[in-house]
Amino acid sequence: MIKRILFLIFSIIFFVFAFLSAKTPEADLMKAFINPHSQIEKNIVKLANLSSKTVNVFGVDELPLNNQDFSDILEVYREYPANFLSERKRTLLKGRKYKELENEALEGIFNPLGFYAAPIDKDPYLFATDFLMSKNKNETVEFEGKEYQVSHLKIQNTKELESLIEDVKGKDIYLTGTPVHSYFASKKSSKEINVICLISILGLIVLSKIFFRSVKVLTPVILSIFFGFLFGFSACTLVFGKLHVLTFVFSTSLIGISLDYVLHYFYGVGDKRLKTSLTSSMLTTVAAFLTLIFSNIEVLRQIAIFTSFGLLGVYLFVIFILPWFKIPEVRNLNISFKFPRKLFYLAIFTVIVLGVFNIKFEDNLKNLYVPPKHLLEAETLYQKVFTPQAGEFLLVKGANVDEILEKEESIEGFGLKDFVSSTKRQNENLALVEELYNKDLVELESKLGVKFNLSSKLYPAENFPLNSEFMLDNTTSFVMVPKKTDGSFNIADEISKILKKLRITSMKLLPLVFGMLFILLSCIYGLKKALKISLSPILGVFFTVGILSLFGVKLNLFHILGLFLILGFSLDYSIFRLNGEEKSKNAVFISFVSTAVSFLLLSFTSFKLISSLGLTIFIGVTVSYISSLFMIKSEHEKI
Amino acid sequence: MRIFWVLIFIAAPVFAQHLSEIASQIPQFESIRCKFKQEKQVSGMVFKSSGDFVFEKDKGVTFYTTYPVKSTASYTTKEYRHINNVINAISNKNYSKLEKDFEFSFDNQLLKLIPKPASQAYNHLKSLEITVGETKIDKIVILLCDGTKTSIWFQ
Repeated sequence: MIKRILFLIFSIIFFVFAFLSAKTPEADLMKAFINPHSQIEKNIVKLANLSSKTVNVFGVDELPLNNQDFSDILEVYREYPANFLSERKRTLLKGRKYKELENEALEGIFNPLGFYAAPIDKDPYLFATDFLMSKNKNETVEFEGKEYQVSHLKIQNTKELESLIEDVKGKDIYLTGTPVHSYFASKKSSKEINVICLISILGLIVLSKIFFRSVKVLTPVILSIFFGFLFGFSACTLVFGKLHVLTFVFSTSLIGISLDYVLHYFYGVGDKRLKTSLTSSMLTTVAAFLTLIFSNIEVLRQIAIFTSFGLLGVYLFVIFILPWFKIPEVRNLNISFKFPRKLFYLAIFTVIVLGVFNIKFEDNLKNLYVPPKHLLEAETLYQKVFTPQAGEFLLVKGANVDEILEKEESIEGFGLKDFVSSTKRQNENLALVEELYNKDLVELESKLGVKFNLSSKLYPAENFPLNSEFMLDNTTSFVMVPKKTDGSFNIADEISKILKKLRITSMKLLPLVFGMLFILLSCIYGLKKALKISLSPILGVFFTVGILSLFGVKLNLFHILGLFLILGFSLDYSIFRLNGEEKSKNAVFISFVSTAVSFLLLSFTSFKLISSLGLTIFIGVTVSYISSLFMIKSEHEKI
Repeated sequence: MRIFWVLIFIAAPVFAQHLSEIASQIPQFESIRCKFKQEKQVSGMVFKSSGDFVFEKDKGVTFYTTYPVKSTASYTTKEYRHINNVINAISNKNYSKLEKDFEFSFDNQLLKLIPKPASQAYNHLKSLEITVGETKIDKIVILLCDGTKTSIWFQ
């Protein structure tokens, strides 16, 4: 009794502590995949993050206002007007086209609607205004008879994005970019979680009615699921802080898995081997989930902790709390399946053999995400209208910002050098402008009827406000280059390479993990029984790979990770069939149905990472269960 | 103190008049060619210029400066879409389009537009004053946030 009370008190403290540390779930898709370990991975994440806050707003109608505050940047150009010159002005100055420069200045000064980035008495030739205008080109493109404009807005939070989405509703304006995709994927995931939960709960009610003749059994079942969920959520929050929304999507599978332990308890109460079976089942499943920690994929690591601790929570609930509940009357349905055994084995091995020769792998990140139709249309239109650059990045290294800028200035592409110049370039510009003043300023003054008193000074580039947008660290910046060049890389390609490396590592880990589980089972049950228990899950794993390959499904990292989970879940069926009493086969059946349905539902989710896992596990556990019916004969069962 | 609030209460309608009241008092402007004179006060200096002005309805405006320099400032292309939208709206008396971005007032033939905080022009334009004649605009005064004041007379 004291143990139970202590356990409850500890659990409550644990939950409260976790809830106090909880943060809003992460919806950024990039952060589901990458937790950087090497410098290149850190750079990839930073680059991805820089682009992940930018939304491209384009369309025919008037675009929403860009509310970004550029006053600190404008202040630099205002104070140092001759330091930063557009390429066009530099060309005119180098070519000594002073008359042309003078005329352009006069046109600008007398322009009725002209604006001046720097005061005319500091910048009579309007270099600062010209430099700013060269950066702020109104991208207007004609396409199929329509004029499209584009604006690239920085979005700081979901509220800003939702406000933007509301602003463009009903207008001929489109939104593209990572924040938009993350937002809609997250919204869809939330709806899917709700649907999956609802179907799972309805399924629970039906199963309760069939096997317990009453829905009262749902009280301890729901409490155990709730407890398990809280336990998993608390552990995950304390370890990671901010959880990804996809972790919650996957956590809905806890519903089916948690049910198993409660059922085995109700069916197996009085059985001396129940606790051993529950413990070994929990340990093997948790061990299988914990292997996801080695995946180096952030969301999978979170799923590993969430589900492992969730299962542990349910297990502890069953051990400590469930005995307080009245054992419901269990209905012992004589469930038997008459499969033609030889035909079954023939089908399984045929699929395995044929599938082995068709295995193909796919590691391309782009294939893991299928955008909703309206976003895909927007992206396609954006590509057609604006033909944006391919997204090749080149890293530029230097001892400091100035050195980096000097190197950037010799590279064709878009980078920090487009907004601020190195000391060397500034000196060049100031010398060119000085020559202009010497040769033409007097004439300009006479036409304007004023006298200018001009001075110049260098601007320290390390102070420039936009540095943080382009500097990955103190010695590295990036330039977006128009095409593939020596040393350049594409973010999506690099992430795909990372996923490939992880897939290969996981494939090498699979036999090791299986070996570890086999040793664990041998220690608990002995070698012969451990072998019997292990056969069905192995068949399940091989069959899954075979059938997916036969259907032309290219295996990705998430299919491989699903194989680990098949091992973990399927071992339970074998453990309880081998060690349980006659009536426990009903519990195993319900357990299989609930787990299979949980993952089948996940296979319909829109996010391919989750649906790949769901489909893999569904196929694997189904074949494992059916083969366990043939392979495992408990002491009380006759086949 | 009470007198202060009474005065504010009386003055308020002048600075937030209803569009329907204003629109009925302003003529619809047609295409026109005329001379213009400009005075620009910027950074403590005054620059004077003059030339020919062309307004083509639904196309835009063009300033052909002839003194002291020869230059052309044309607001008829897609690059000046926002400016064109404002010009077309005023000339066609389509003030409801401008209502989203500007506060209006009209008194003694002087139409004053002040950008609202949410508008694109707010950070650059302080006010736009248009002196309205019988069939055309007589004068425009553009006051920018940086203090630049441009006065244009049409003859």
